[in-house]
Amino acid sequence: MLGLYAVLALNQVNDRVVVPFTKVITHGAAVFLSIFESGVTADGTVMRASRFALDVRNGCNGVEAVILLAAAIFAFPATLRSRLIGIFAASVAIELLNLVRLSSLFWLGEHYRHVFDFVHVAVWQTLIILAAISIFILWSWKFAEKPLAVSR
Amino acid sequence: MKRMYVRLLTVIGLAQFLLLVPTPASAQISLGTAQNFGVLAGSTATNTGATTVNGNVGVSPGSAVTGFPPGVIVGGAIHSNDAVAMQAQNDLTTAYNNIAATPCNVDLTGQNLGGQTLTPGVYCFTTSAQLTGALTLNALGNANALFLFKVGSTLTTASASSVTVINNGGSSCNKVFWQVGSSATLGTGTSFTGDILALSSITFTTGASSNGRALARNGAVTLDGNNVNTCGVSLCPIITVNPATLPNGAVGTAYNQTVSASGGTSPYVFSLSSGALPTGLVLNSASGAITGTPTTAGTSTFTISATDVNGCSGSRLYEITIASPGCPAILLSPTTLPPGTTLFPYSQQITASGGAAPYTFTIAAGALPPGLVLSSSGLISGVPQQSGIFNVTIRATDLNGCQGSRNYSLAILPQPPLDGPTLSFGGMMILTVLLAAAGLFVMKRMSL
Repeated sequence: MLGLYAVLALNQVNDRVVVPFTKVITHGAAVFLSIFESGVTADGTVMRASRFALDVRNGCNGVEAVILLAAAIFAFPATLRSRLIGIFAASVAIELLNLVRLSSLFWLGEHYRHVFDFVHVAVWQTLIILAAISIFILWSWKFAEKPLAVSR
Repeated sequence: MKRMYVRLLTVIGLAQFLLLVPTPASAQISLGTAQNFGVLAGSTATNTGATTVNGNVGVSPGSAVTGFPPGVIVGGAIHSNDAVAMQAQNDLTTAYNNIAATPCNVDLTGQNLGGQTLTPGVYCFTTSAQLTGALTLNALGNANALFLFKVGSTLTTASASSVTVINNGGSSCNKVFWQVGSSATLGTGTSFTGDILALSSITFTTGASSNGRALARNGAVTLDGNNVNTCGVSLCPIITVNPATLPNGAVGTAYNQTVSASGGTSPYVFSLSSGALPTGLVLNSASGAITGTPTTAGTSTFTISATDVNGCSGSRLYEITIASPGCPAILLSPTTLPPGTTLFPYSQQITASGGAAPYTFTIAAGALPPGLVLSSSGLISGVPQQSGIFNVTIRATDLNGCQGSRNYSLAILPQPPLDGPTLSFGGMMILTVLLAAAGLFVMKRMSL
């Protein structure tokens, strides 16, 4: 886990991988939100409407949460195949949830700015943590049961 | 197992939520001439419905004041970008900056003001401040007790919230100031106390009332069936500095003008409270004489304050343009720059007059906000990346090499939610612990 964080901290990795990925997430959130609302555009890592803008920076892209979850899955006794499936599924699930998170925060910021901080700090962090825990428990219960039973 | 899993998630969720939810002196602050305003806005002052404002209603540098009537102004008048409103905005900026520079006693960042009882002091919020419910300010029997609230971004009150001062020694005027880094919104039916000094806008929703002024530096003040009561923070008379304007000068030509003051008790002490005189000129603090020989061409904007023997003061904003030797005075317009907002495209054309076109524009001193650039044709454009107030001097050079310049203060308003980490550091630590606990839990259950 620390190794992955160290890799992410490298400028080359940040510039060539993390930032482009964040741009994709930003555009994805803008596209998702545009289903419900017109006038939302994405420019690089910035989502913008006429009255509100949101800069999706490092840390906002869900990568850290994915790394934590991946590390937990990797550390759990299971087959390599189960681990890879778990990491892939967890990554997709967390990033999809983050897409919804960014879209909802932008919408709240635009229409109900007074609750933005509360939802951002309290509600969504709780939801992300609950989702990560749920994914991990679900994976460990379903996929990692057999190797443990055998070893026992 | 399923039931235990649901229970586990419920407990984790509740614990997590509780961990992450934000839980809920005596000095002088002078508003200068802004104290005569119940409502002062930077862009527009708009009212809907039966609003009553005690004191003046003014706008500057904008000019639109709408909704009076049906709104009623008691003991004041409308000042639409006139000299009075401009001066009040200038004094508001000074007061705003004074409060902003006051050190904090208590950091309340992340705490809701609702349900709290606070004693006199300086309270700070690094980001936004929220009031849901009743805030009680206990003056501890001191009629001069001062409450300063410094809010980094937005101030928001929920419906039917209140701010009440108790034990104020019988004072009819409470000294409560709210310095707000961006915008303030008073919820429906809120009963508020204190003068709001906001960098951006102030919004009163239906039925909100304030025992204090609504003073917005750059943005709008929006009213909707409200009462805005002002109370004299200072017992000082209004001191006026004269004349209204000062003549321009030229490089190498002696300059001699005198400002005077009236309304207070002489003698007065004159001082520069903001800006700077043209290079080469000095202000005599006793006589108010501005003398010397200018050495640099350009336009200088400054404020001269006059303080009487009782410590009461007044001020006026002046502008002097110094022309280059053998050159006409070159004036740059506009006189002030409209505020921008971080992450939103900004564009403002600077023009020059008085010399021989075409003009070439350059930055003579200071710097534009990061993300903005000045073209040689005078266009400031780009997307501001950082909020704050940026001082920059822009110089125009005409076809013959004659120069003129002007100092600008460009305010870039913050967008409160600039960054939103999926998980904060605390959130990541919690998730790490919970993942480890969940792993152990599952392994233990499976080994049973």
